[in-house]
Amino acid sequence: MRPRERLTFSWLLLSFVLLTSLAGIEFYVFVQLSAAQKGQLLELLFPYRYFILVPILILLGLIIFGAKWVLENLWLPLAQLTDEVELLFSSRTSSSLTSRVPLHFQRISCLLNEQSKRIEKLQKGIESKISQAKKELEQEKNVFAALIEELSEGVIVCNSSAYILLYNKSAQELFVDQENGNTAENTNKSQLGLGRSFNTILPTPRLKYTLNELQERHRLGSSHLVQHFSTWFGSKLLRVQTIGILDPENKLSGFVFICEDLAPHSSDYHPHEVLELLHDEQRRASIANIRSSIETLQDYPEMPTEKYRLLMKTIQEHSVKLSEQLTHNPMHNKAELRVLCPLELTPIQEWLQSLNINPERPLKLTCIMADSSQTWYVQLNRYFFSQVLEFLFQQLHQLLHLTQLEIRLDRKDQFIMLDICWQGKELAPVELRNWLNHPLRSISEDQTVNISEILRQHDAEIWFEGLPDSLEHGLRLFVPCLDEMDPKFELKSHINLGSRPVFYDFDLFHKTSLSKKWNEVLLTEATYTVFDTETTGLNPAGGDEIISIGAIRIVNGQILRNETFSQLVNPQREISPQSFQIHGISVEELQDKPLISQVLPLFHSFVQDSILVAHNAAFDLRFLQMKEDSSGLIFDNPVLDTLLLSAVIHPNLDKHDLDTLAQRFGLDFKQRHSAMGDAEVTAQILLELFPMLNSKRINTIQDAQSAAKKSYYARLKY
Amino acid sequence: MPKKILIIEDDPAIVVSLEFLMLQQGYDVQVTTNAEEGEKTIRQQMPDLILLDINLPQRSGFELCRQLRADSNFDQTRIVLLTAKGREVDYQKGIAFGADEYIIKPFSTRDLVQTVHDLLSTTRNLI
Repeated sequence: MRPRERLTFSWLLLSFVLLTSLAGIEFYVFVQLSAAQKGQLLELLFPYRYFILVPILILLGLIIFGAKWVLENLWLPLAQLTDEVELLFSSRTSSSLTSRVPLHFQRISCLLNEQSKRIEKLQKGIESKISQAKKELEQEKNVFAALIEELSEGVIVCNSSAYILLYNKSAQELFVDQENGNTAENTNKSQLGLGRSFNTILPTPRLKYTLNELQERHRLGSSHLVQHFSTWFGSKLLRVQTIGILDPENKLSGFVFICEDLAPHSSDYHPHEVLELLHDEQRRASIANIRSSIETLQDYPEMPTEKYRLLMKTIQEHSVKLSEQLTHNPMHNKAELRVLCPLELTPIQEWLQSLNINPERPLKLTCIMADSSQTWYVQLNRYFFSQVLEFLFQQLHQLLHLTQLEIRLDRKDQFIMLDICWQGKELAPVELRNWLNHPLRSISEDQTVNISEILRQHDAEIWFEGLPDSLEHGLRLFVPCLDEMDPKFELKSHINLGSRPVFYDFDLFHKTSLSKKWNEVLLTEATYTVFDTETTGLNPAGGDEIISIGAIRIVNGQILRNETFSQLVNPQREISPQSFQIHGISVEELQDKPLISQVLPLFHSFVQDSILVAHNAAFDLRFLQMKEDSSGLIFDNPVLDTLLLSAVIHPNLDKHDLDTLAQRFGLDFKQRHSAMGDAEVTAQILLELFPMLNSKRINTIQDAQSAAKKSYYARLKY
Repeated sequence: MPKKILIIEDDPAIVVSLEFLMLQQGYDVQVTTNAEEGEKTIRQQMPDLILLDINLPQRSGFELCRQLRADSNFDQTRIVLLTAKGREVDYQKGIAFGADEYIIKPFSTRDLVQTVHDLLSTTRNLI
């Protein structure tokens, strides 16, 4: 209810109560009298009726109109004054009381204005000191940012829930989804964005596996929190190095991802690959054949003609084969496997312990280490090698109906012997051979890699060990062991925030709200997409269409001006003259623009994992809802409306339109009635509203939504 | 009585020269092209020396070598691994599996003949 309507209603109610109470009292007294007394009273009063009634009516009138005067001239101005005082002391912009106040309150108004100016002066002093301190901090941050910016690798820093806190330009360029043809204009075409989930951007099981693995390693007390994996992102083959970040309390507070596109190098050989060429087994075999044939011919010139011909044929065939091998580059596949399945130094005991924890496995594992005092390191790809072991466990369970396995770990010279032992039936060699051809989950759908290839990549061997007269059997995995650790290994094992200079102190690390349920998230900590639309008219149900969408993100209380969405849309219909007058966009301008069916998926992806905010959101949302059936895209994000929130804060102020709010908070429009310009101002209004909402104990998204629902404006429907 | 040599190699090109060379040295030479057949021949013929390729179909030379070394009947049988696997880790693996020599392709046939001769003129030390 608007303030003036509420005032009229209160006044009418007061008058009604007054009149009915008076009449009620008189009626009650009258019915208490006896018939004789009633007659006497009427007889006594009747001649003086006008002298009695007129003063009573005058008195009533005075009371009723007096009340109206009090409500209009004291209560309403005071209520408005209260809202203005609240605004005066909570707003960050310079303002003074402007409400018309009765003469006797003007002194209070003047005093409040003076007080406000004094506070403002003090605030400015504090702000200038804060700004100076921030400037110094900013300089240090800039040095750090410049350092990261200069790196050719893409660097992404995430919190422990894999939500992005920081990324550099190279990362932004790496994660541009060219295949989906992002057509938005002036838009951050990269999928990266602060507060977005890295898991959503890179939806590979390798990433999830790596994060779980590092968390598990950290839980088990390991300080080795580095892991590599390779994966495809569109046409790019990325090598991702993941490093855990420990806070001063030694808690795992986040991850750094260092990403490199390997695809540009895949056609070239690196120097170490040239060396690898020399090791190529096929070439070695061909050269061996040629050499042994030549040497035999030299040593035995008198050999039989048939042998002579055979040796000459060998030389000729293998020279051709060698030439073909050099031309056709047979190392490519091998090099690719090395890229896809990179090996890293791994403490094998620790890896086995982490492997032991798998609640879904039907088998019980017992690990026995021959020497627990020493750490043995192997070159391992945990993702693939764990799959190999899980597959073997599963097969042993299914084929031999085993429920218990014992893992024994021992070392012989340069090798680790990992024995998977069981009591019971033995395993036929042919079974093991079939298992080795089993394809594993790989990094892309069209690419598979089998166990045998993975073992070869690890230089590992596997065989069945069993004695015919014994009940104990085993599979032995023979994996090369490393004698000494690479000294660099320890240095790069994790990043410790406590050991870094102060400019590395990101508050964002401690924010875990992103993983909470929406309604519990604090207003100041949530991620928002503030948007606005321009349309062909005001009637979405009557066929009016969107012609422009503008959106900007707010993360951790900051407007991200480099993470925006701005797109004109071809509505395929006329624009009403009234609407044209407002936004000034003509149909001709929109002829070559994409259709809403092309734009909505991009916008849907842009608003993912955020709260939608708009001014008078019901209007803009109605347009989006009208497209749900045709696009199949549902915008089910939680919604906040700045119009409703303003009405919640200042229920006694009449106006809550965008222009009034901008003026009230001292904000300037870059471009009024452009979707992007309006979205940006709405974002600033939202930030201005937060402290006021907090002072009314509206702290979470749910609080804000519940309060907004009760607001008068929530009744507007489109 | 000539010493018996068994060549287990699936590449016929190198078998031609190896077989010829060993015959010229006066050895009794037999050839098989896979590990299964090779194992049968070994158990029947008890060769003094085996020239064993590592990259064999189905079962690797490493595995056959390991199995023979686990069987005391073949304590005195010399095993020479012939391989195109030229890295240190492969060499280490060959030695760990009990090979007497690990010869990386391409090799000198003259050196090979000398190695075979040296191995056959000594007894295998079991310690």
